[in-house]
Amino acid sequence: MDDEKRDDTDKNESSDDESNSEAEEFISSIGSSSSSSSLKTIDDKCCGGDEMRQLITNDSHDIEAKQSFRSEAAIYDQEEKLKKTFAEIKKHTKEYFFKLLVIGEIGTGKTSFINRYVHKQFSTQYRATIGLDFALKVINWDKNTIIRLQLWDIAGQERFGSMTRVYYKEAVGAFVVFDVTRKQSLDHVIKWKSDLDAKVCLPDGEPIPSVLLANKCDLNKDEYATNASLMNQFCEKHQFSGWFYTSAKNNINIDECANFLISKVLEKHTLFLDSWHLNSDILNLSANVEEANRNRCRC
Amino acid sequence: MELDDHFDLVVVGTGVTESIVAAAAARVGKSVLHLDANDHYGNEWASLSFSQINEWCKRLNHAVSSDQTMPDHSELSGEESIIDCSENFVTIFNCSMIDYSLKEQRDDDGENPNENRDRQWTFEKLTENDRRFSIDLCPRLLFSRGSMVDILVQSNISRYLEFKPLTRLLSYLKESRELIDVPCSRADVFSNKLISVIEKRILMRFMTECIDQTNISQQLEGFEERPFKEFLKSKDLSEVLQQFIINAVAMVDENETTENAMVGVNRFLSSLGRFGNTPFILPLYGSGEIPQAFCRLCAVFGGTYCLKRSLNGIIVDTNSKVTHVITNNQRIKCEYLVTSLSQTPKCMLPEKLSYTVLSKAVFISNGSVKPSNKEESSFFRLAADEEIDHAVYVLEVGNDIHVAPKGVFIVYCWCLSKNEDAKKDLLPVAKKLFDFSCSENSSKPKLLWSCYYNQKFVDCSNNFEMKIKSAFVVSPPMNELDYDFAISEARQIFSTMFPDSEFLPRAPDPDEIVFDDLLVDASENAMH
Repeated sequence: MDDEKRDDTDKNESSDDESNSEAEEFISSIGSSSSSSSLKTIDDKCCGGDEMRQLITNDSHDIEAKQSFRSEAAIYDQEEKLKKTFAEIKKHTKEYFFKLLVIGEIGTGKTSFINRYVHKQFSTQYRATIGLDFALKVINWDKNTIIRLQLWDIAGQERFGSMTRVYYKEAVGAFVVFDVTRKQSLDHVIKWKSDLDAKVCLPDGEPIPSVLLANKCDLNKDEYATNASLMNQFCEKHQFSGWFYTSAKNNINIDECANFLISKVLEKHTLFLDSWHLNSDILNLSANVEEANRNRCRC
Repeated sequence: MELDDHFDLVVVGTGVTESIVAAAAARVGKSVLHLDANDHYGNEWASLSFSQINEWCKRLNHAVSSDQTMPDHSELSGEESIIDCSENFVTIFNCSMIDYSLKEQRDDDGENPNENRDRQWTFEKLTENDRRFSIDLCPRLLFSRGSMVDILVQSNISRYLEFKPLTRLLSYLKESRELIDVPCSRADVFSNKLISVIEKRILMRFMTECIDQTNISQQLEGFEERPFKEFLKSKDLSEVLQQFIINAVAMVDENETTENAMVGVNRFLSSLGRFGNTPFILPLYGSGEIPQAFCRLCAVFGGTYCLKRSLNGIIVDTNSKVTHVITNNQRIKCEYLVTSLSQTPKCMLPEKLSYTVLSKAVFISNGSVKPSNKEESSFFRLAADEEIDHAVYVLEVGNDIHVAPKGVFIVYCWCLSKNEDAKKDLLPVAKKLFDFSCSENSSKPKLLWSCYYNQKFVDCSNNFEMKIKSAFVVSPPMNELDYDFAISEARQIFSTMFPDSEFLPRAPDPDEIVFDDLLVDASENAMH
């Protein structure tokens, strides 16, 4: 997969000219290739993270500012330097892109959980998330691994259980949330979990990793939720990878449960590499729209 | 759980047109309730799994009488009257399903079942792979520069969908009864072995002229109203090239006027070279993803979704204006009502509706109609001949766009019907494409499963005066390739309801949304 990316870079190199405009175009193409790639092309882009993009953007500003008195050769040098840095970073950094779902009955604290995890905030006011598809979070998992998370909330009003496939498709992990103060919200977990497993699975047909969150654990727990062995049995029976007491309000176990789920997804990630690789010719219209068809001839 | 008691707009049916209207309304801040009687999204535009389409066929043949009870009239005030929703207009009929896979298995049972099981697609094996199937009730191709691509990009709904280019366009040669590749680019033209060097030059010259609009309008002079075929003859194009251009490029009948045919030619040429080798793209996981993408946007902007839910009654006031709908014994106030024709009560419609009938077929086969060394998706238009009354669109898809397991292909055929009998219309097509002889050495693929059905098309956009005000009925899928008709109808309904609102402005990406109250929270926290 790394080779493929390198090929791309080579192509860019060979087609480059020394003129200003071409150099700029090349730089912006690096920028856009790391920002607009779609979920599937993940293994093509084990390169560049936020830092890298930062670097590129800064330098391209730099170029613009100094353009007037810089010779073309100097810009070319800069461009070469950039390419080297780019290749260097690319070699060592692995970047993953995970779509995680947050599902559960209304009022179990899904949105609060996401806000706590992503924005480090807790708001007691209930707020409908109009216009928001998912929250983004970038994690430096270890020295060489960057993980980009997309956390998909149930859009405010799909709560009657009528989820579109758009929501489920290509998810690699899920949090199923219930409210420890309400016994019936645990009953609903079974319904959500079976819906999840019916709509999405790993490439090998197994359910995607999922974690059960016993949320609002700062409040008085229902009897069932206080019995850890019952909870373990429940998870085993319904094929959850594990469960956590969480509190978005008091920030209990939020990062822990997320890290647990991510580690479970990472265990499975090799399964996805094949399918990602196969799908390299998938079109993402939002990304392709500006792409001119310069190299293509019409008949 | 109860629904809210008041919505600006109630939409019934989750087909493409209805979903576009719902998304557009929610996007500009209207409250939307979106229902569908089915347990899946898409209505007549859905993609179904193998078991779902089997059930769908069975259900059509055993029409279940509606068990709906009339809502209680006592709730009504004196000025209101109620429309009975127990009987809806029926659009799909004549459904016949033929399962070839079972038979094969029974024949071979005696020999070596295990070995055969690996090689052959039995009904059981198809069912095991149920979820790998996405079978379209309304197959579509998108022109790379067509109206659907435009609207997906403009509204940013494209972020919910992925596409792949259609990999090849084919043409059926009447004489040799075989399918050949249609060259779509300069490189294709020159590498094509079926046309001579002179033909290549003539073809290239003709295409170049077509792209140059000003030039072609001069050359059309005198031919505008004459058959397209005569025009092509005047250009020295050979019979094979004429067939290419008529069926694969212009996609018209050969006696269509040159003026109309050139519209098709221009549409084709303007979509070339944007994404893949052909002018078309296909959505991954089937065209049923398209209405769902619009529904997701609607939900993200606050729309409420409820499947397996239909209307029990519609309440109108003395001016015949819709004021409420009743569903699950709940009375919901609404300003506007939009219903898909197939989920519209009969008594809301005029007694006599003029309609055309489409014939459609779905074939599942164990190989491609034109085998290739890679996974392909193919499209061709089969011209009318002695066996076929109307030109038939044929689309073959498979694992390439994730709608069937590896090694299995789905072939869709659709056309205007002459006989109102889909099987009569389309069996001749199947006989051209598939092997019915049961012989081992046929080069054609074998059928595993097939289904024929007819569908009524009623143009609801302006062909009848609605008896009821502030209600709109949406047309079923039309006999077209792309979604032009559906989009223009949706746009028309939206602008009639909300004339001052923008139609599907770009939706922001999640990282563009700033949380005002989170910023407030943060500053409060800092103070404490």
